[in-house]
This record gives sequence, structure tokens and C-alpha cells, in this order.
Amino acid sequence: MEAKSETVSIKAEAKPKFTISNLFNSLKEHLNLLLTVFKKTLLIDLFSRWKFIFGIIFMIILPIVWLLPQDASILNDQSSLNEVIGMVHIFFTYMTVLPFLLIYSSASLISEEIKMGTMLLLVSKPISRGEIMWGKYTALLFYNLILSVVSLGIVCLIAFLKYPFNDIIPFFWTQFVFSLIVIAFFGTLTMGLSMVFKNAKTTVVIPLMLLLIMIFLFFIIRPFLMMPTPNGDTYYEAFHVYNYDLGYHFINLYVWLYETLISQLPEGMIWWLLSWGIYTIEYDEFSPEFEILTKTHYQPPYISLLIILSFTVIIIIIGFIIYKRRDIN
Amino acid sequence: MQLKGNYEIWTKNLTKVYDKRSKQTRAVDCINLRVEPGVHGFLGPNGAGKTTTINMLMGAISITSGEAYVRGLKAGSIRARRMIGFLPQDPIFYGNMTAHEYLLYTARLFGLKKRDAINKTEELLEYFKLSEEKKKPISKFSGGMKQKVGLASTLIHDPKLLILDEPTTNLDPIGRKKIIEYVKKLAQDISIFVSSHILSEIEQMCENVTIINDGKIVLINTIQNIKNTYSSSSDLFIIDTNGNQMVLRELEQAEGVLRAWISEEDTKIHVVHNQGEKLQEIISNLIAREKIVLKSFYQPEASLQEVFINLMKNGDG
Repeated sequence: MEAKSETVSIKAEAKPKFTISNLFNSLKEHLNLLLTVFKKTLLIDLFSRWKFIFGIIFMIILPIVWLLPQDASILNDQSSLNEVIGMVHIFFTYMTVLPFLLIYSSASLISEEIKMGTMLLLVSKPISRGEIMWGKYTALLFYNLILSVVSLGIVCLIAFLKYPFNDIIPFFWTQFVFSLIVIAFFGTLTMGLSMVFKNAKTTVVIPLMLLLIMIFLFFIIRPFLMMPTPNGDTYYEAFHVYNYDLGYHFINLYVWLYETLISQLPEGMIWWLLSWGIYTIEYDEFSPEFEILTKTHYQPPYISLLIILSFTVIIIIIGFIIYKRRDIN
Repeated sequence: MQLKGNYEIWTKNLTKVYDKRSKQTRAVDCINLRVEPGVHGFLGPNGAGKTTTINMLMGAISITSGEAYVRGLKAGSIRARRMIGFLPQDPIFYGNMTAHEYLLYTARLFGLKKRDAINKTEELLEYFKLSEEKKKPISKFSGGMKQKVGLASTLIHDPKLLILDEPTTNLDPIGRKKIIEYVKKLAQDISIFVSSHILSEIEQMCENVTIINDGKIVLINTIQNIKNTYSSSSDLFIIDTNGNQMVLRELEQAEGVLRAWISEEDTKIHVVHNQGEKLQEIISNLIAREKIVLKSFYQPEASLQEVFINLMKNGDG
């Protein structure tokens, strides 16, 4: 049996008039909500004392182990911290540990909440899903930014106290700006995937696979791809593999940052960059015993930035559309 | 004619269809809810569509077709949600948060200023007798305490309407009793829409009830009307004559009596007769003739449970 049909007048919802003060109040309201979710995500979901301490230890362990055995007697005020640990710090701290920490911490933010059932309590409150997403997303970025700054600060402090390096501040800045790119990329990627997939495990596994394939696998196979083909160029060039090589794009950006913020790369760093496809070795036609390190210029840095940005923006937009339409039971 | 703004909840042909691997399931099928101020029960067996309906009203799940309004505002909109205190079925809280932190967080999500949020949190912790446990993580709470936290969180912003989805599920009898007492107390000030599959609880809490089965509304009425309607159609009568065997024998022989027996529980005579007035006449004659003492003669009120079982059996009203 259903309720009797009845004529019903539709009572229009009275919307507040548009005035500057209403607009200001509305913005303030949105900001307060965003801040509430931000604070809760940061302090309750992401931060725990031991997680933070272990995160820092993992991030600094290899650069410190690399740095401390340096012979202080042969270093002078012309020695470069960038040359000694720059690439180790980039590869280990920012392209290995930090993405792992980001992937691990962001999985719980959306998909785990939906799976656990806490998301139902959240979406039933007067807060939009956009505000929920932005609150969580900014908290994730902020938390990892703090991790990055603290770990970088510790490395710089140890370097300053122990050795007479002349470029500690430029080292800090280049590494810090680079960490922003890594955090933005992996944070956005995992946040997007966290909204796409219902299962938190999938949210962890996919970026991990991406990390393993795009960074580590390429790191291993790149030297082989850079061997010359019968035509004289390399497989890496011939098949434009660099376009799909995330590691190449990241390091391409780092080199650009270094050259913009500091100066010409020191030779010690250039040797490292051979394995990332940024530089290549050419031999002098007349004196083949001489190795000439040449910059490859496969892609300009802004293209690398564009590729990284467009990839993350697409993922987060798709993620948000799915999350906005998702039924939360 | 009534405006939908006059109803706490108003729906027109509200429907939810789930598509799963090309198989469509109509979880809620064109329901027309009319919930007036007061306490309204939403009754139905497990899987009837109660939670789906409520989640649509809260905007947690999308509406496939139809309309839904809460106090005249589009269901699921932020403005509508601002007026509702919602307790989902078997709510899951952030286990590492304390009750104090959770209530404060909820208050901030409802836009309360920090000072007001703190005051309201303290007030509700006191009201639900949780003050001593306010620093303990919610994960360490018992089911009853968690439900009290949930109920407290629904009241943090002084809502106009409470929507409670099976608020007593998974609670022990004492926990259930306490939650029902709280609901009855709260009902003095605000409207409550409460779903349950436990009839005795709905009977204790509500004035009006909507019964749903297989995603369709089966009945909407006041509990008293439902009982009256169903008890008047019952053929059972109870006569208390201190277990008088002679009266039983007389009734067994009387015209129109289908069955008569003495209950072992209370020694009252139970008679099944298809004409109440005729039976009254038979009893009057018996009293006059045999000078027996008649302590009571009545028709038992049908419990909501009987009504519910009948409705579920019949499939419609």
C-alpha cells in the first residue's frame, strides 16, 4: 500500500542573496571546513610520533652513511655537498623512501575510510566531497613536506657541523624544491587512486608498481637501452623511450633546478647523470681515449614538468569524479 | 493539501536501483514517505530497503529516480544535512580518537565556533554520562558506549530532525533499554525518524510507523490505528472467571464458538468466536443463569509483531 497521491506545491529553497559579505562568509565557512578536515587528517590519520621518527630515520640513513665516512682532511671550503651526496639524496631519499611513505600514508585517506565505514559519518555532515578531498589532500602534502624539510634539515646540519662545504644552503634549496615536485606527483597520484579504487591495497599496489617500473626498472635497463643501434643512435632515442621514463623527467627537472638556482653542474654529479639519460658519453673521433660528456637534451625541462603535471592532474580529476558519484554505504 | 515543507521527510516515487554486473536490483521501489513532526518509525525486515532509503535522504548514495525532501530542502543537500542529526546503522568511529575529540571534530564540521564546540561537547558528554571516559580512545569503548557517542554526535548542532538507523543493533538488552530511554527523552524536543526491524522497540518509541518490505511501502499509519484495525478483525476473546471449568464446558457447547480452552499461564478462558456481539450475549446469559463471577472479558490487543507478520505474509496492506 502506498501513501495517497496528493497535490503538492513545490516550496522553492530560499537561497541567500548574493552580496560581498555573504560571499566572504561563505568562503570563510568553506575554509573552516577544509581546515577542520586538514587538521584531523594531519594529526589523527597521518601523524604518529613513532611513524614520524622512523620516516625521518629511513629518509636520512643512506645520505648520512654516505656522508660520514668522507675524509674531512681532503675537503676544503671549495668542496661541494651537492657533489658528495646530491644524487644519493635525490635517488634514495626523494625517489625511493619519500614515495614509499607517501603511498603508504595516503592509502588510508579515502579508500580505507570508505571500506571501514567512517566515510559514511563524514559525508552525512554538511561538508561537500570536494572539501573532504582538499582537506585530506593538503594534509597529505603538508605532512610529507614537513618530513622532507626535517630530514633535509638534519642532513644539512650534520654536513655543516662536520665538514667545510661551501654549498649547504644551495643544496638545501635545490633538494627542497625537488622534493616539492616529488611530493606533488606521488601525493596526487596516490590520492587520485585512493578515490578511484575501493580497495586500499590496490591504492598501494598500483603506485608501487609504477614506482618500481618507472624508476627502478628503468634505472636498471636504461644503460642497455642507451647502447648504440646499427644506425648509430641509441634504442632510447630511436624509440623515444625517454618520453615514458619518469626517472628521466624527474632528473631532467632536477638538473634544470640546479642550473637555475646554483650554477653549472660539477663533474662529479655529471657522472651520476649518465645513468639517468641526461648525459651521454661520446668519444673523440681522433683521440678515442678521450670521453666527452654531452647533455642529451631529449626533452626540455618544461616538457618534463608538463608530462608530470598532466599525468597527476588527470589522475586526480578522474579520481574526484568517481569519488563524487560514489555511493557510500 | 500539505506542502512538502510541512513534512519532516517527503519523498515522491523515490527509487534506488543497483546495477551489478548487468543485473539490476531495485533496493527501493517508488516509495512515497510522509513523515510528520514527532517520532516516526521505519519498520521492515533486514534487506527491506530501510538503510538504502536513509542513505539516499542523507546524500550518501545517489537517487536513481524520484524526489526526496527533508523539511522542504532537497535531501542530501548541504543545507538539508545541516538540519539533521544522523546515526548510521552500526556506526564505525575513528578508533584512535577519544570521545571528546570526535565530538569536537563533529561540532566543527557543523560549523560551530571553537568555544561553542567545546561547551556543547562537554554538555553532551555529561548528558550521556561519558565525561569520565572522554580521554579514552573510542576503540576501547563497549558497543553501548559507542552508540552513546554516536547519539551525542547527532545532537552536537541542535538538529531539527534526528535520523537513527537501527540505533539498538548489536547492543545487549541493557544497552538497548538505555538507548530507547534516550530516544524517548529526545523526542520531547525534536522530531525523530527511526528505523528498526525490532518491533517491540518501535512500539516503545514511536507514534507513527511506515512499514517497508522488498523496497516498497506496505503500510503508513499510527501504531494505535494499526493495532485497532488488526485487533478488531481478530476472533480471539479472553474471559477471566478464575478458571471456572463449568463456564468452559458451556462455552464449548455454545453456538458460534470455534474453539475454547483455559490458558495454563493465567487460567483465563480463551475463546475463538466469529461474532463478538453474539459471544457477549452468551456470556451475559451464563452470568445471570449460573451466578458466576466475571472478572474480565476483553479482546487482546494485536501486537505490532502480529500485524507485521500478517503484512509480510500477505505481501501488501
